[in-house]
This record gives sequence, structure tokens and C-alpha cells, in this order.
Amino acid sequence: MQVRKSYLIGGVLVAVAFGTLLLNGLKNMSSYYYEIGELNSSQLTVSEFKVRAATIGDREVTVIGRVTDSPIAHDEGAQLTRLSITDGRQDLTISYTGNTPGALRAGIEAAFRGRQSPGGTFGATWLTTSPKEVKVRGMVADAPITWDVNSRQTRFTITGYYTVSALREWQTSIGDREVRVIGNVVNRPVTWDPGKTQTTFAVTDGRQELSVAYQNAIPDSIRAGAEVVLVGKSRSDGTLEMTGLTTRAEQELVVVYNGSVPDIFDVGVEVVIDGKKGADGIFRASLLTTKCASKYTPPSTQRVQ
Amino acid sequence: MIADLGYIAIFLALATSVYSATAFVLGATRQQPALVQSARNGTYAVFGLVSIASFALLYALLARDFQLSYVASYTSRATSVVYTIAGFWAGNAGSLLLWSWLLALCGAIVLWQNRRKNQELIPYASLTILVTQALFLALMVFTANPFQKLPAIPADGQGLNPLLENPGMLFHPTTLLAGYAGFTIPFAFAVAALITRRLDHQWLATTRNWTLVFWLLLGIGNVLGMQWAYVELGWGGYWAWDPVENAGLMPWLTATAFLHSLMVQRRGGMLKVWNMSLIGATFFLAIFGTFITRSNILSSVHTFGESGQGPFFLFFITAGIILFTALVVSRLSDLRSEHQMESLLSREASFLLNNLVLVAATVVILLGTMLPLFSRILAGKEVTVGATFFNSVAGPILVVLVLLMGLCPLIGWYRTSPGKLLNNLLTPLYAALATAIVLLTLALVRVIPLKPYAVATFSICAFALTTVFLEWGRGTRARHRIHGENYFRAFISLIGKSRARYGGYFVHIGIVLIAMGIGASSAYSISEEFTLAPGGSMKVGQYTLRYEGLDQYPTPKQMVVSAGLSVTNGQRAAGHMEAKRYFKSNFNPVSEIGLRSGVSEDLYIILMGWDESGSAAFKVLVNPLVLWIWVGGGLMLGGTFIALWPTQRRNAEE
Repeated sequence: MQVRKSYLIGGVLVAVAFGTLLLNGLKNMSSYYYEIGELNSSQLTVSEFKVRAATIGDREVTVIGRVTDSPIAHDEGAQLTRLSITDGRQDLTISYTGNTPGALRAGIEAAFRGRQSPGGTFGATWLTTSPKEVKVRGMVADAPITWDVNSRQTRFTITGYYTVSALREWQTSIGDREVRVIGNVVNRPVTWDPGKTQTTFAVTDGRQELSVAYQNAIPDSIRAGAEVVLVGKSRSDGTLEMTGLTTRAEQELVVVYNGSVPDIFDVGVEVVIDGKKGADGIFRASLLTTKCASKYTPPSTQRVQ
Repeated sequence: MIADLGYIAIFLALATSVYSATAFVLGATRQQPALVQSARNGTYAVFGLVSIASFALLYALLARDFQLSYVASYTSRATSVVYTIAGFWAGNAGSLLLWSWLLALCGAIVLWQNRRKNQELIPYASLTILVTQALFLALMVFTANPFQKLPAIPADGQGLNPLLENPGMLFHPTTLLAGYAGFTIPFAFAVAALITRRLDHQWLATTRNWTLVFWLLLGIGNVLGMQWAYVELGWGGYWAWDPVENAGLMPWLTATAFLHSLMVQRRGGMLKVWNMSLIGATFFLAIFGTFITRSNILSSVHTFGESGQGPFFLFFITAGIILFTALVVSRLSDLRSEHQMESLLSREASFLLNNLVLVAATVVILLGTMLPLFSRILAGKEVTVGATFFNSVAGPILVVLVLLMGLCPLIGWYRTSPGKLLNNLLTPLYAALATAIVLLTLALVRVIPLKPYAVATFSICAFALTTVFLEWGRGTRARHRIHGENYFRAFISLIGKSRARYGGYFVHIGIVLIAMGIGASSAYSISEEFTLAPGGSMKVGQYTLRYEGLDQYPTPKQMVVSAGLSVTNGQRAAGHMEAKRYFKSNFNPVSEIGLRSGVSEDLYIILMGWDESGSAAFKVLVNPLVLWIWVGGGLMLGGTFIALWPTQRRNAEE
């Protein structure tokens, strides 16, 4: 019995040791995959914020910007700081409530979380001068990928949407998941069925077409030839259950990455990047991982160099 | 023609598997030897049919029968014969066929080996093998037919992805698949023993060698995969904690645990339920590993892309785990321990501890691997952990395992007095201390950077190594004294007489070397990126690299761009190295690293890119002791061979 008891204690000790190791690891080292749209709608540059101010309303968002040279007004009693930040094009006045870190001075890049207040200022309740890195998942866009020998910097765009053809190609593997699809509304009448309260129309990428039914009245943006980004649930039977609309800007992210790029990195490849979005809206990646969609699948999905 | 033959063979094999499985059950439960005999023949027939299908695919590949979608996807007229053969397992369908063939082969060998023994176990063991076989055959029949035809015959195939044109492609997938498939055999015997309640040592003795062989194949498969990733993927490392890599590691860990705890069961009749759980876990982890390679549920660089096979696997794994658990629970009374452990200071207890650590490691890796999936299901958000998590969790576990490796052999079976243990421990402890002092001194005089974690790792490695040498030395001296043999002869015959034990220590040395390689290359690796104009030079560590210029030339298969570098190590000229990039039509360019592998360190050069002026950017790594990881893998192989030998002989003599 004595031995059995010591075993129990030993077993519990091992379990506790591993549990601690595991929990610590999970707490400190787990990260959440951002979809591009999600990142773009929660972390904005000053310009992005100004453009979308109306749709943001009083939702809590993070605005990233560089502190301008204009004086930082500090009211010790009310714990209130007024300053302005810029992305190089536009300025935004911030009124921040809370302790101000000493590092906050002109020229520093900082992220402010809060809500817009009437009068065009941004009421922040939280700020950081060293934002945490985030993980973003997307697909390398069919846009120029540049690389410079001296800076060894790769610059590319990632997107959170599929083209109609790409969706068709991957639909079975995507499963029943929310996706975004970019396409141009096909030049034929969009039909609105009041009885069923739904709109049916089709989008195309020039090669393939996708017909969707939208359980809502025709939004203004759905006109023949217009480029739209549809949001919806992809079904493995090849249909898209449309639930809403988004924009191209919301679903794209320009990335710069210093480091060696894996061989399989190319247009159409799914990537996960770790890094931070800067005041200029460019995402600076410290790590790039590719999920090769094509390593074992027929090269029809690969680009001929 | 040949394609139809192949498909028909797969289809018939599926039908025969189902028939034979049914016949085994009916024959065994209703005591009808004729039915059992028919099922046995059926099992051989399955092997024959799957072999026909495999030959058909091989023939189609070699004959460049591009009408087959599979052949057209993975070979071309320019693909060499060797890689045409490797095309067999380059894709999902073909690798399933290989899995199936390996399992059919094992199933047939098992029947043949046991034609005159284990008559009660065989029907149920074969049943388990056939049901697993049916899963893979069904996958090919319904979701991934390797003999799928194209509507039109293309003039040429796509060819094998140049990333796969590496010797690693020949051995890594095959050994890994063999390991995966092979774990079905010990599992099958465990199921048979449970069903028939013949839970004595017989089934363990029968499966011990099988387990050892497939444990070895899986281990070698993993090491080969590391080596391949190291030389081919060009990121400077060998293990990225990719879900598919983890999938290959997990069953290996549980099988390692099983190999140790089965010794406890064979000696003392203890840990029976535990062993059943380990063998079940190993089997289902192997199936799971095969599954995640074929599904998109986890993002991985190795997956084949979606194939609609998820439901098949999930059903098999879920139903299998439920049935197996129910079976174990219903036999709990038969699985009671025959003895109790006498003391905490016993070999049994230390093996149990090593088991707990191995299983805990598996659980941690499984949770980390599945986290994105779990969090998606539970919270709707995908949360993930990366290499830092796995390194910080698995690193300490590996060190603890090496420590146990040094400790366990010094503890006797049943019980050891603390005084005696301490006495045994003294020499290894001195060795550990000496290592620590040497490393700390080196760090103090700035020869190496001070890394406490690495110092601890190396001390523990020295501790474990000393234990092995101590054990060998003690045995050798005893033989020298008793038989009057000279020391060399005494050592050879020591290993020859007790191969499982003393040969097994080679495996321990192998693991220690791997741990040292991993420890050194993760703690002391240097990595630098820089751009050089032709003629420019750069210092990395103690190496000076002078960039000579770019060379561009065609080969029959592809265009090659090569950057030449002359290397000096300290003051000594160390020759010429090249980092290249291959351009092959239809595929992305592939980098070939420049690698100089040495006893103390590897110089590893990646050509990142270049511009018109001839300037080129490089990433250069100096990775210490990596060579020892591969040497360790070789020792594992050799040690296992030694350990495998005797039992077979003894069986033959019996």
C-alpha cells in the first residue's frame, strides 16, 4: 500500500509538472489567427479610420499612428492627454485617459484603443508603444511580388478572398466555412424576388461564374460590371450562401518581409505571417510560413515561371 | 488495360478482405476450421491482389502510361527511373496503395509465421488486420483511385515536383508508411489476446519483434525526414513542428513507452492495462497520422490536399477507439497485475516514470497539434501554437528522458538499496559535473556563449553516456574475469550473449547523440543574412566567405543559377562552395543549399536571390553538431538490429 501511495504522489507530481509546462506554454505562446478582414477592421491607420469613420460608429477599434510634432498636452489631474497622430497623409487628434508611458513622444509609433467621440477626436482608453505581434492568414495575391537584393526585403500583398476560379478549385477542401469571393457582377439583370425577399445575381472573374442568392434587397453596389467582394458560407456542393458584402481594401494587406522566402512561396499560396501592422498600413512580418497548396497536388495550380 | 486490372484487383481485394474478416469471426466463434482455413487463404489472396494492383501501378509509371491521371501528375518523360518509381508514393492514392500493400505483406507474413502456433489468436488478429486493410482499400475504391483515367491522354506528364527529387523521397515516405502500417500487427495481437482472454505472455512474445521493427522504421523515417528537410527545404532547421511531423513523432513516443513497459509485463506481469492502452494509442495515432496527411483539418506543408477521406478516417478512428476501450474494460479482471511493485527504487518504477514522461510528451504534442481544430470547434476561433511552444515544452521533456536513460539502467529490477544506487551513480555524476565545469570554463573564456540550458543538457547527456559505458564496462570485466577472454572479445561476446540489453544501449547512445545535436544546434547556432557584390566577402562565426560570382548554365532537365563562394575557416582555406537555384518548367524554382557538414559544425548557405548587377543575397548558418543527429539515427538502426537478432534465434532453437 505504501508503494502504491508513493506512486500516486509521483504520478500526480509528473502530471502537475506537465500541466504547468503545458498551461504556461499555451498562455504565453499561443496565438490567434487573424483573417485579413478582421485585422483591417480592428487595427486601422489614420486614413483608414477616417475613411471608415461612418461605418465604425462607436465600435471599439485600435488606431495606429506616429505621434506628430505638435505639443502633447497633459492634464495631470484628469489623467488626460491630448496629442495627434499621423500616417503621413492625415492627422487624428487623440484624447487619451490613463497613465502616459514615458516613451510617448514625437516620432514614436503607437497604437491607441478606444472609440471615436463627437467632434472628430478619438477617445482612447488604452495605448501601447510596442504592440504585440499578431498572426495573419491569407493568400498571396496575384499582384507584383518584389524583392530587393540589398535590403533582402520581399514585398507582396495577401488577400482574404478567393477569385471565383480559385473558389471553384478549392471548394471541396474548404468545407463549410465562411469565405470571401471577389468578382465582377455579370452584365445581366440582377433579379429581385420580393416574394422570397431575395436577390439573385452572378459574379465572374472572367473565367468562371458564380451565382448567388442574397436574402436581402439589392444593395446599391451590385451593378452590372461592378467589382464586389461577397461574404458567405461556402458549401461543398459548389454553392455560396451569401450573407453580406465587404470591400477589396478591407480584404487586402501589403506585407514586407526581411528574410529568406520558402521555395514554394508564390501567387496563390496560403501563408501565415507573424508581425505588426505599421502606421503606414504596411504589415511588417518577422516570420513567414507557407501552407503549400500544391506540393502534392497536380501542378495545374502552380504558376509557370 | 493494366489500369483496369489494377482497379479490379483493388476492388476484389476489398471484397476478399470483407469476406475473410467475416469468415474468421464465424469460423472462430462456431468452431469451423474449414471456414478459418478459407479465411486464411483469403488473407493470402488479399496480399496477392494488392500486389497485382501495386505492380500494375508500378508498370503504368514505368511505361509512362499518361492516360492514368496519377502517372501524368507525378512523372514525365524526363523523370529518371528512380524517381519514377518514387512517384508511386508521391501522391495520395499511390501512398494509400503502398500503405495497403505493406499491411497486406505483414498480414501474410504473420499468417505464415504462425501457421503452426497461436491458433486461437490468429483468427482475431487477422480479423483486425483485414478490417484495417478494408479501410485503406475502401479509400482507394471510393475516394482516391490510383488508376483514375484522364479523358484525353496528355503528351507528357507534369513530372515530379523537384522538391521531391531527393534521395529522401526514396526512403523517408516508405519507412514512415511501413512504420505506420506495421503498428497494426501488435495492435491486432493485442485485440486477439483480449477477445480470446489469452492474456498470458504469448501475444507479447509474438509481437515484441514486430513492435521493435516498426518502431525502428518509424524512428528512421522521422530521422530521414529531418535530414531531408535540413538539406532540401533550406530554412536551416530539421524539425518545424509541423502537424504532419508531429503525427510521425507521436506514435513513435508511445511505441517507445510500450517497448519499455512490455519488459515490465514480461518480468512481473504488471502494467497490463497500461500496455494495452499504449498499443491502442500507438495504433490509433498511426492511423491518425495517415489521416492528417490527407486532410485539410490542420494546416501543414506536407498534406496532400483535400480528398474527401476525412469521414472514413474519423469513423474508423472513433469506432475503433470505442470498441477497443470497451474490449479492454470488459477484460479488466483478466488484466489484473500478477504482482505489486515492491519498491519505488526499482527498474519497474523507473520504467513507469519513463512511460509517464513519454505519454505526457505525446499528450502535450497532440494538444498543441490539434489546438487550432479544438479552438475552432469550441470557441469558433482558430488559436495556434508554433515552434516556440513545442520547443519550450518538448526540450525539457527530452532532457528528462535522457536523464532517465542514464538513471534506469543503474536501478535493478524489483528493488535497489539507496546506498547501492548512489554508489552506482557516482561515476556518471562525476562525468556530468566534469562536463558542466568544462562548458562553463569555455563560456568564461568566451570560446562559447554562456547558455545554462545547453550546459544542463550536455551534462545530462554525459551522465547518460557514462551509464552506458559503465554497464558495458562492468559486463566486459565480468566476462574477462570469468571466461578469461581478452577485453575486446569479452565485449563482443557480452553484446552477443545478451543482445537485447547490451545492444539496446547502442540505441540509447544514438538517442543521446541526437539530443546533443538538437541541444547544440538550437543553443549555439549562428545565422546571418547579407548581400555581397562579386568579390565581396563576409565573416560568419570563424568563417570568411568570399563571393566569386554568379554562374548560369542549363542542364538537360533544368536551368541552374549558381553562386560560388570561397571559404576560409580562420586562416585556413576551406575550399569552394556553391548555393544554387534550379528552374524547371511547370514548377517553382527550387533552392539547393551549399552545405559543408563537419564533425563539429555545419556551414549552411542559402542563396536568397540576386539582381542584374550580379550582387547576391545569402543566408548563412553555422549549425554545431548537427552531423551527430544523423549518426545517432544510424546507431539507433544498428542497435535495434543487434537487439532484434537473438530472440529470433532463440525462438528458432526452442
